[in-house]
Amino acid sequence: MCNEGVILLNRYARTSRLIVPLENLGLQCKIRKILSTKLETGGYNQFMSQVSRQQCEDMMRMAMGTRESSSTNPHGNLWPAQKSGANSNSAVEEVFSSLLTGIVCDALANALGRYVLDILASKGLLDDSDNPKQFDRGLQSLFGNGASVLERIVVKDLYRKLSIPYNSDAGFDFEKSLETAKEVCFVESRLK
Amino acid sequence: MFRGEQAKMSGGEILSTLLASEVRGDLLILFHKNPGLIDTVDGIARRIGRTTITVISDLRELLLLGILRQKRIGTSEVVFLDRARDREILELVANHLKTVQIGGAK
Repeated sequence: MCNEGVILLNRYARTSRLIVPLENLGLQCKIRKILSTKLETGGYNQFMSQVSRQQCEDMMRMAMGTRESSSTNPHGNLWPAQKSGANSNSAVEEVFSSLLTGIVCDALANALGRYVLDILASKGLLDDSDNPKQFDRGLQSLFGNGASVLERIVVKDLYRKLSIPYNSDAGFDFEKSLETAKEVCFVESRLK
Repeated sequence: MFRGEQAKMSGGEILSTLLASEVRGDLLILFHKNPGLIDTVDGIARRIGRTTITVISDLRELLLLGILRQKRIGTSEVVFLDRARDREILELVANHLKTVQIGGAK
């Protein structure tokens, strides 16, 4: 276990509610599981000596992410800190934007492979992934009619992550679908 | 029903074939996420939440393209990903996309 990891974990790992961006949710669960089992059985020092390199790396990533977001999110929940008005809205928009970008990358990589994704990224297509109009234009110029299939894949995945029902037989509007997803994000952030 | 005839197509034509329908997109994702998957047409349809009838024509196109292959195991005809052909096809697509400009023609 490296010293830097120990220091960071000392600072963050014992907090009851780790703060992470949405895409790190899986990692958060994994680390919580590791921490709870190890701390219960042998205490913190024993846990630190037993932790594997992979676990260390996972927790380092987690801790770094936590440190970055902790200044803006003192409440320790998944969503950005509830600030008043525009700040809060822009924070939720950032979360939504990063969620959407991740889903777009996954969809393109899973459908057409990593190599194609790299090419599209180098062409700047992913820079506009949170701007539906620009993104749609970029996809149309590259994929023609295939653009709508990719958009449907993205929206389907996004809706699944946000637990919104998706009907593939219904009419499809990429921009409206993203608006709906964003609204759900805002509502969820307020509820939390 | 399906024959693994590998048509000679350009990268652009292949891309259009791959993304011709939502079902085809779902099939691509299914097999790329599970490259070792071997299943019957019914099983594959179920895995992407659709009926056999709605996937059959899209499966046929992917078989014709050669990205998927079919063989008999016992009494069942099963479909699986031809990894080598898949790599080849995605490379053709990538080379095609390299030549296309965003927001304009080649």
